[in-house]
Amino acid sequence: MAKPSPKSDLPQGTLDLLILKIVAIQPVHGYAIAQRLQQISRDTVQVPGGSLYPALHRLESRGLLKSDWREADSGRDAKFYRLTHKGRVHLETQAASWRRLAEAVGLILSLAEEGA
Amino acid sequence: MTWWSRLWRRNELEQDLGRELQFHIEERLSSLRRTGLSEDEARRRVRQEFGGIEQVKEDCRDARRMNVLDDLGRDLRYTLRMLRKSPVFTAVAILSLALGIGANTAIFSLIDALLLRPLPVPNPDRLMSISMDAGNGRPEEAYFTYAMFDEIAKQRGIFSGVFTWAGHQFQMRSGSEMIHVDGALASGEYFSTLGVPAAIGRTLTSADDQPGGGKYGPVAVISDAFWSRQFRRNPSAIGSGLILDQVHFTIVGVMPADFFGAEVGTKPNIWVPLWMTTRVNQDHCISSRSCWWLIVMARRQPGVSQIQAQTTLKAMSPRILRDTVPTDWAGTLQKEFLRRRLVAIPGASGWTTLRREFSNPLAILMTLVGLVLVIACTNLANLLLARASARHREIAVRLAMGASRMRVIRQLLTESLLLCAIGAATGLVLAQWSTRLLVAFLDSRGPGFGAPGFGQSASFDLHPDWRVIVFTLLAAITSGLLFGLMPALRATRIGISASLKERAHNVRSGEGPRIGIGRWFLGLQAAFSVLLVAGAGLFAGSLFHLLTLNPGFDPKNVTVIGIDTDKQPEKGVPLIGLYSRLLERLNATPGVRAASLLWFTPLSDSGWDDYVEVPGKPDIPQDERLADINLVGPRFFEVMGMPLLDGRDFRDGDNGTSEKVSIINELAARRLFPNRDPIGAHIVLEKTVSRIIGVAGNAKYMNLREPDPLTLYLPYTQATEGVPSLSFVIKKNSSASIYPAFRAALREVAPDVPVGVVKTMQQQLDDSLGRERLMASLSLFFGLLALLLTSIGLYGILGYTVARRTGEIGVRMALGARRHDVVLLVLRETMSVVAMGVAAGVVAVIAMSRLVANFLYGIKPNDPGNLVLAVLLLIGVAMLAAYLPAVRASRLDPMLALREE
Repeated sequence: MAKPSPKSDLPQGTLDLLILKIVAIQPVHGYAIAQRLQQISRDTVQVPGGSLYPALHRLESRGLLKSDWREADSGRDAKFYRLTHKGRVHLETQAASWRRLAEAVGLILSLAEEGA
Repeated sequence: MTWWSRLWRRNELEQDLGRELQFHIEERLSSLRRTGLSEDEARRRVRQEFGGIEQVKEDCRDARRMNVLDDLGRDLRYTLRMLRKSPVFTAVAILSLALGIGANTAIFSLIDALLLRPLPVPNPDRLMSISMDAGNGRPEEAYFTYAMFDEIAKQRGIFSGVFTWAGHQFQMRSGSEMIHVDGALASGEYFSTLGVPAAIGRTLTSADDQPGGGKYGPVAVISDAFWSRQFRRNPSAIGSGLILDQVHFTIVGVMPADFFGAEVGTKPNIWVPLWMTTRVNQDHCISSRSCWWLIVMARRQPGVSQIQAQTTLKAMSPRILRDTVPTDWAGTLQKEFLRRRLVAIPGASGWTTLRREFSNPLAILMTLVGLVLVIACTNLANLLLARASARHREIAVRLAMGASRMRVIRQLLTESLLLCAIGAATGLVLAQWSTRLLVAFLDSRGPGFGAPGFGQSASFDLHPDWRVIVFTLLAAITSGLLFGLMPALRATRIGISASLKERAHNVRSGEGPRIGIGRWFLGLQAAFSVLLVAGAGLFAGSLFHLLTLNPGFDPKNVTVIGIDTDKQPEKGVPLIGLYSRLLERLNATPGVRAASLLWFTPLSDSGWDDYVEVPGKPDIPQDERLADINLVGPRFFEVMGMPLLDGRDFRDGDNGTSEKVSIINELAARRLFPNRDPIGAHIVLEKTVSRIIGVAGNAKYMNLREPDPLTLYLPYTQATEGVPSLSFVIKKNSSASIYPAFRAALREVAPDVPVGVVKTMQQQLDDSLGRERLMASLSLFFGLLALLLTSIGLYGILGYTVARRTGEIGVRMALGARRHDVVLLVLRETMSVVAMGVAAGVVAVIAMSRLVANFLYGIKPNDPGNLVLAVLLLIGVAMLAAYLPAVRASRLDPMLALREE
């Protein structure tokens, strides 16, 4: 099996968007974010720790996320992240432009090719 | 978490990070274990997936750290990119600021060096300068008699130390010549009160300053520069001897390099005790009650405030004055003297007459320069405003995309602060260089006879003082904030949707975010420019009048070389013989067309005037009998190129034993002998009668500005009661220097005599106009600068305005407006503002005219020709600057313009 590189291939902006969305649903810790991303995308999106945590810290220092320590399901203490208002606004704008882009790409790709 | 709280809690955050990552790893391990993997296998997998934990930690740290710097860096990079994209705007902004700030800093440096910088002594704020209130409420720098100093020095209640000094030029032998060395005679407490110890050896004390010599005989303290030059910094200088003014002194100390005493603008090299004056000056000034030659300063006692010292001294004045009044004065003069009061003024920045002389010109310059700075700043403001409004769409989009208003403002501010920073840095460099130029200009008056000039070498400490740098920084930051904040606030205040929709509505003649205030600025610039240009015209006009004035003599190829015979053993007739011999020798020197002597060099602001009498005509009013008097030698008029209108010149036959003769000038002949030939008539000066043997042409005497004076010339050969040091005036055959030949002649005839001032007559003429030349050239420079800045500003603003109104222009053209209609449209609006500004400027010129009237010659401040010229110039320049954008506007293709919407 090909060894996945420690860094993911997701561009930074897209990863941020996904993280924000996951956190928007409910406050969650880093490990759970990675898990959920993998589950929901049916294994397409796998984010190794080496990309996830720097992204989380970056988002937090930009004021889009806020963190605090709570008890996780497993009983241990974990750092939970939640969305700030600024983060929510950012999420909405980014998501909207992503959708527009996806729609446009889809339209172009669905053009019938010559001789097809 | 804000970045600063992050800084404080770094340790805690580190632990946090470790725990967070550890949690992730543990959870993953648990889940892998649950799928049945072995412990080792699980761990290996986790490590593979996660990557190196230290690396991840580092990345997280970077992610946090980078943000702050990131933002800043992003702003800067963005700003730089924006600035590079509009090179003209950037260049204009930086140049405007550099010139404005640079000029201000230069003048301020000078003002600082002259007025503000405290003496390099401990606690300079406790120093006070003593002067006398002449009764008109304005104390001037005063010279005191020794008796008065003695009395003031007794005021120990308020002063911990009182000292006095007098500047003196020592004669010293250097190699085979006698040279002059600047120095001072200092009282016993001079050094102790100033509080600066010697660098090596000791300073002078009261023990050295005794009548008849101190305990150690004649001692001297030298400057660091003198020590370097004469003794090559050899410590054996202490104890070695110096022969000054033919007196043997022993050097006892060397002062530190930055010490120059208390007189700003001087750099004494040698200090000797005050009482040595009886030997070096060979006069009894020190014991006379009517010899005014000393400068007095004092240091306040700790605990005594300035006010206390002032009031106490004033209260003591009557008694002190009574005890020191010159008893040989007439009663009325004595009474007037007793009415004066002693005044103590703050002396932290030392003593100088230069303040009074140059305060006004410097104040005027500071104002001029301030105006230029305002113009430069308004330029910048306008440019920034225009830019901000041109970019309002971009800004609106950024705001819509979620950028906080703060961020956008921060970026705009970064832009203006960056511009100002670069402008200020450039300005500072410019200032350094131009301050040196300024001092060189002001320096044009060399040391006159006893008159303190700026000194031959820049005796000013001009290196940028912290005050100057702070001033520049303040100027830069203030302008940056002020003129960057306003546009930034404005631009971000607009409603987002309003400006996005703006494009469609651009066709209206409104300008969106108005540059209304920009037009006010433009008007202001126009007004100030008129002021500066008119001012320049006035000063230049003055200078022109003075330059084209006929001084009455021909300065071409004429050199004046002075010698100092005060210390020569010969007096009276033998001294005259010395001069005659030298003169003979000079007249025989190749390269010399003619040589003569004079006492006062024309246009040196010094001279001798007195009332003459005509026997048999007692009723000529006194003020018509005031004549300027000079001692001259034979062929004087030939050398100076002055015509001898009647009679004959002095000749060798006119000596001490023959009849006393004199020559008067044409004006004197007309005034004193209106209906007859003055030749053969007699004229009386100070009870000496002389026969008039010739009439010479009129010439300027002390300076160019005064009207031609009555002049009386006397032959030096008949001044047997006391021959002062004279100067040789030489008409050369070519412009080659005659100085080496002169020195050779002097060495032959009188090897012990030092040379004094050497100047060509042309230099003398130029120097006498030093102040006028300064004002003229600087004001011309500033006037041109103002014009340049205003036109650049106009050009820039119009460029933006036109760019933004392309839609409107397109519509107009599509509706049938012709090219020149568009040009007129663009021009009309701007010119109306400029016209208003010009009008305001003219009013300002007329209002301020009284302030500069004293500096002008031959031209009145309200000179209408000058005003008209200034106005025309400004309007012309404005039209030129506006023309290009207007033409560009008219060249727009209406279809393209409309489609741009």
